[in-house]
This record gives sequence, C-alpha cells and structure tokens, in this order.
Amino acid sequence: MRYRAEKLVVAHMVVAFLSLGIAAVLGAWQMTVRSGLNPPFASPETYFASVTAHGTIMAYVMPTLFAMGFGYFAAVTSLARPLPSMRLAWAGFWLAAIGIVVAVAPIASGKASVLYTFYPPLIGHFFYYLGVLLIVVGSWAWVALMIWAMAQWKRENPGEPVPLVMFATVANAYLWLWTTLGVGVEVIFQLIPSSLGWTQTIDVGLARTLFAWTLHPIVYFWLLPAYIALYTIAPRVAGGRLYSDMMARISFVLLILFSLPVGMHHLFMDPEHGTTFKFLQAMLTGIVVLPTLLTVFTISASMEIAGRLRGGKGLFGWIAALPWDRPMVLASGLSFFLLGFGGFGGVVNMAYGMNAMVHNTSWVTAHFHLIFGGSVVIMYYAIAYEIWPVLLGRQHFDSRLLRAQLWLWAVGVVITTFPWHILGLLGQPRRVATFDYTNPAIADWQPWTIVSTIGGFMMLAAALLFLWNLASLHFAPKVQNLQMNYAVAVYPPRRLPNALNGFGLWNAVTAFMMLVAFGYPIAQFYLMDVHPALTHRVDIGN
Amino acid sequence: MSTDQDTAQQDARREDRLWRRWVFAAIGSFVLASLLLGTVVLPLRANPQLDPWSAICTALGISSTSAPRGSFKRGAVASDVIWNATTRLAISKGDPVRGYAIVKDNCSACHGDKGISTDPQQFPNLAGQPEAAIFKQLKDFKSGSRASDIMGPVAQALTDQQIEDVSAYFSAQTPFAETGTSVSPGAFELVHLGNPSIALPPCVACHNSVGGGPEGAPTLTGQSAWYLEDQLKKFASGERHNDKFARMRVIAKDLTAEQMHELAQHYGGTSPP
Repeated sequence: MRYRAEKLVVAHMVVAFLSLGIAAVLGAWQMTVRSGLNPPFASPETYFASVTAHGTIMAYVMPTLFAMGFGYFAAVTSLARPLPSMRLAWAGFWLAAIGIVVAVAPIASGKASVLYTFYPPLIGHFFYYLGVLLIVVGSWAWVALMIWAMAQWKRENPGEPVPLVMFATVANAYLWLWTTLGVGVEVIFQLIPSSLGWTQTIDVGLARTLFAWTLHPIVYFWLLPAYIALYTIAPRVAGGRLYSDMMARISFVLLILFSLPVGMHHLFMDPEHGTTFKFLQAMLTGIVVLPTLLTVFTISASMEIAGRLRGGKGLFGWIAALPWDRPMVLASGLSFFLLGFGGFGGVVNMAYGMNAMVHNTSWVTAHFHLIFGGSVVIMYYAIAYEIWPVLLGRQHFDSRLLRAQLWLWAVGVVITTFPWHILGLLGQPRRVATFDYTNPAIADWQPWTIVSTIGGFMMLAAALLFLWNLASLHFAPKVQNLQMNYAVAVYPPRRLPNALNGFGLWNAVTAFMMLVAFGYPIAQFYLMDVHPALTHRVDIGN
Repeated sequence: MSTDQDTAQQDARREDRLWRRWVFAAIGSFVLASLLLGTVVLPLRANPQLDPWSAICTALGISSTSAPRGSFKRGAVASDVIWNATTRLAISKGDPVRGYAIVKDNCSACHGDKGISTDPQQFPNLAGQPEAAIFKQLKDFKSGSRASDIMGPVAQALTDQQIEDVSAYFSAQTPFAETGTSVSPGAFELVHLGNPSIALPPCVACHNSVGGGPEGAPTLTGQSAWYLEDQLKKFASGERHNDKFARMRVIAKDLTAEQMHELAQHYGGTSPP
C-alpha cells in the first residue's frame, strides 16, 4: 500500500477494535445482571452506567472510527492517489480520540447514566455531550476528506467512472453528514445548555424528533461499510465478478434516500406527532426493501458467478462450490443469513400496527443486536481480516482461527438474540436493570435470559479472539507487495450518467424528502403551545 | 473536434435533465400517494363521519377530535404551579418550626398535630408526604385550581411563605405506619405492572419512594383508603382537575369502580386507634 495512509488507517481501526473489546466485556456483564445471576458490582447505578458506556461505544465510537479508517483505506487504494490533506485527517482522528476520553470519564464516574440515546428530560454531565460532539466533529473531517478526494480525482479524470468502492464510501460520508444534523442540533441547542444549568426546562418532544432524525440513518451508516465489502470485496475473494456495477450504485444512492426521512418510526407511540407523518415515514421505511432486495439479488448473482466458475452445477450446486474457507466469503454468507432474520424483525418494528405490540420491549434491543452484531460487525471482522495484511505487509497462512472466530460470533449472536426476541414477545421491558424472577408473573422469563447470557459470553469470546487474531498477525511472516484489489464488474462501466457518478442530484432529493418528512413535525413545536419538561440532572441528582 | 465535444456535453446535459425529472417524478409521486393515504384515505376509513378537511386536521394532530379523552378544555391550565428553579428554591426555604406554629392553629383539627388525620373518612393523612406534593395542593387550593369549600378559604389565608413552611413541617413528620389491609392480586398487578393492553401505567411509575416520577406526586402508602377512593372517583368524573397534563384523569377514567376500591384498600391504612 502506498501514499502513507497505513498509520492513519491502523490508528482508527485500533481505537475502534479496542473499544469494541471493552464494550463486549460490558455487554456480557449486563446480560448477567438482567438474568438475575447477581454478578459482582451489580446495582442499578452500575448497570445503567455500563449500558451507557456500551451503547456510546457501539453507536458512536466503534462504527464511526471503523468507517473513517475503512474510508481512508478505500480512498487511497482505489483512487491511487494520496489523501488531499493528511493533516486534516489526523486532526479529525485526534479530535475523535479526545472526544472518547472526554465522554467516557463522566460515564465511568456515574455522572452521565443517560444511555446512548440520552432522551431528555434526563440530562447527564456536560462533558459527556461535549465528548460525543467532538467525536462527531472529528468524523466531519473524514466526510470533508472523502468528498474532497473524490472531487480531486474527478477533476484529474474527467468523464471517468469513480471506482465503485469510492463512490459507495462517499455515499456513506454524505449519509453521515445528513444523519448527524439532527443529533448535532439537539446536543448543541438543547442538551448542552441544560447540562450547564442554563435552562431548567426542555422540550422533550422536539428533542425526541431531532434524535429520531439521526436514529435510523445512523444504522445505515454502520451498515454501509458491510455493504461496501459485499459489493466490492466479497465477489473478488470468492473468485467471481460483481454482477452489476450500476445496480450497486443505484442501491447506494437509494440507501441514502430511504434511510434518512424515516426516523419517525421510532416515535410511533409518541404523542407529540399526528398520524400523517408517522404514516408517511412508515411508507418510506418500507420502500427501503428496494435497495435491500437489489443488494440481495446482486450479491447472490455475483456469488453464483464465482460458484459456477469454480465448477458448481445445478440450481444450488454453486453455493457448495464457493470457497467457504476464506473468511470474507464465510462472513458474507453468515451476514446474509442473519440479515434475513433481522430484516423480518425490522418489518415488524416499522409496521405501524405491529410496532405497538413490541414497543419498549426486549424485542427492540434483540432486533438491533441481531442486525448490528450479525450482519454489520461480522463484516467489520471480515474487512479487518482482508485489509490488515495489506496494512502490515504480513499474512496468516492458516485461517482456521479466523473462521472459528466468525462462526463463534455468528452462533453467539443467534443464541443471544433469538431468546431475547422471545422475551420481548413475552412482554419483558427494555432499559430495566434487574427483574424479580421470584415473581410468578415473570418467573418463566429467566430461563430465556440465561440462554441469552450464554450467547452473550460466546460473543465476548469471539470479540476477544478477534483481537487476538489481529494481534497475532503482527508476528506473522512478511509478504512482499500485498495489494488491495476490488471486485471487477462483469461489464466494467466505461461511461456513467452524472447521476451515478456524483451526488448532486441525490443531495437535492434528500433535502426535498427531509423537508417533506420532518418540516412540519419540527415546525409544529414553534406553531403550537408546547409543554416543556423539567430537566432531571443525573450528574447533580435532582 | 470542438463540435463533437459540444454534442457530448449537450447529450450529458439532456441525460442529467432526464434523470432529474424521472427521479423527482417517481419519488414525488410516492410521497404524494403516501401523504394522501395517511392524511385522507385511512383516517376517513377509520372515522367515516369526518369530512376530508377534518380528516387531514385529525391526522396532523391539530383538531379537537384528536384531543385526549377527558373532561378538560384543551389549553386550559390544570394548575398554576410551574416546576421551575424558582419554585424549587422556594420550597427548599420552608421552615418546619415556623410551619408548626401555623399547623397548630389552622390544620391540626382535621389533619392532626403530626399530620395523621383525625377522621380518615373525611381528611387525608399528610405526615411524610413529599414537600412538593403538599406545596402544590395548597397552592392549587389557594388559586382555585382545586376546589374545596373547606380548604379554599384556609389556603387563601396563607402567604406563599407560610405554605412553604407548612409543607416543610408535614413532610418532616413520621408517616402513618400501618399499610394496606387488602392484597387483592388485581390491585397488586395494577400497582406494579399496570395494564399494558389499555396503556395504563403502573401506579409505582409515579408514586414511589425512589423518585423519578412527576414533581409533586404524593405518596400513597399509608393514605386514608376513603380519601383515595374518593379522589379517584373525582378524577374520573373530572370534578377534580388540578393534575398536570390530565395524567390522573386519563388514568382514573380507565379504572372500574371495583378497581378504584381495591386500589384504595391496597394503599390505604385503617384508622388509627
């Protein structure tokens, strides 16, 4: 790898993966608390502090740093030119790194136990919000660099199609920029003034609406690196070709469009909005099946090409012929399998009627752990296994431990989240520290929570094994001239319409949709009588 | 050569125009169809008696037909007490010693010297109630938000400082020790789990000893059962309406007379000897 970006990429990924390890330990401990097994240090105070740390790391730290590192990697390897400004890239990294320390300190001292969603009127310590804000601002440096890098490349190569991996990475950068606007406004104008004691009341409805703006697309921001790997790395590793480059581009732009104006499906049960915009956003949520099905089709077709090239015959013979011993192929298969289950759970959540039955139950937490762990993080592992050798110039020649790690994680996700879904259907509420399982009304929950906890420890073991696998690569034999190559399409694009080679049109459409979907719901707080709530400062205990 | 480039640029521009037009047409019509469905078609199907205009307003949440049930006027103020920093500061300045001087002459005949009711069939226990709870009720009696022939004149005679002092005194007293006489399973479930199928929250969500509920929520344990049942009925009928956001009116409406009785028995103490 050239162009001096190795250290930058490794720095981002190391922070991402170390924090993942910490969050995995906390997660397993939390499962034991909820299961009534009374582990050491268990109390509601430590539990909620731990959940806040776990959520903050897994939502704001790990995927953000990973996406940044992977984005820098994709930019220098696919554009074959240095980043526009290494100084800005490092500034973004250090801003985020400082943000992590600033945010974690108040969480660890129990002064910011507001969970990663930090719904007001709960207000935590000022430093917590400042830290989260710094992480976001640091990531904006990455957004700027990705957009800048693509613009420079296009100027130097007029009329040429931007490499798919870069196009998709910039799609994710724009998506992230749009995403962070909601929570950014909430943190700067509502939460920070409250946390400093400047305001005693807060408009909870407005805050929840702004957070909903962020809460759904952020999930797609986490998911997109996984999709990028599925489109641009997995077909190459499997020994095939990408079925359609254009279909991939259409999927990525549709994912920007239909992941943004949909966040209100998190507010179906909230009273501050009428049914109109809830319904509209439910419809827009539903249409996200379009890019998802395009993806399922394209990736399956690409894999089929690989399978048939390897001699697979018959309707399904190509599946068996795939090189499942390669971590990227294995992870793609597992990720696809679990995405199916997670997707169906998601359809329940986005359905206006069914949502009411699972609202605020463990179903919801189970759903996002299944999707995030089973479909997203497993691909992060595979991406790391793919690019770490390129970064270090060293390679494992035995992938058994890598495959064992992926299997352990996937099975762990299933054992953790499937019983968790069932608990949700039984009515177990989320965001509760301890349950009295001696109460006959809920005694039958405990066996499920214990099974779920076993799965949680499997996931912890897999996360630690992942760190070990990466660490051991530093002692693996050196290999000369390791290159990163991306999948080639069956028909590599020679010329593309501007719409599929840039984002002007799609940003305009997104702006239009956000105006329609969130314009009135936000404006109404300035048009109607509002009833602000008193803030509850958890850091000073009032 | 230059004409070739011009043609290519023109082609690209035409292509851009086509993309713009079709993308906006496709997405715009999807959004429009969703809005029509969500604002007119589905609300009309749910409420056939509505005209299309009211259907739109209802779906937007700005019409009177979508107001929560309850016998209160939308926008009417339930109580003048605002839980801001000034109010909190005022409450914290209450002095129980000064409070006792007022209680002795104005309250003790009914509520007892130490806040234990002299006649639980008529008067509530006040001992050990949160300061904010007593403060809010006295302020509401004074402003008329809560109507009472007895308490109205009493509260009107008190200054704000005296109200703070009385609240401080009563909240410092030992609460009535004897707890509920009934442990009906129905009441137990309502207290601890509520009834999710009709969106009824559990009592302990607000009325508990660890806080986190709305400011000014009273303690129920050890309160007179007669008083509790009476108040639930008054909330249900709307006769009492000084609960912010109509919280208790909405809840009480969903309770049956029998449930009100069981809940009152669950929380209420028997009369002291």
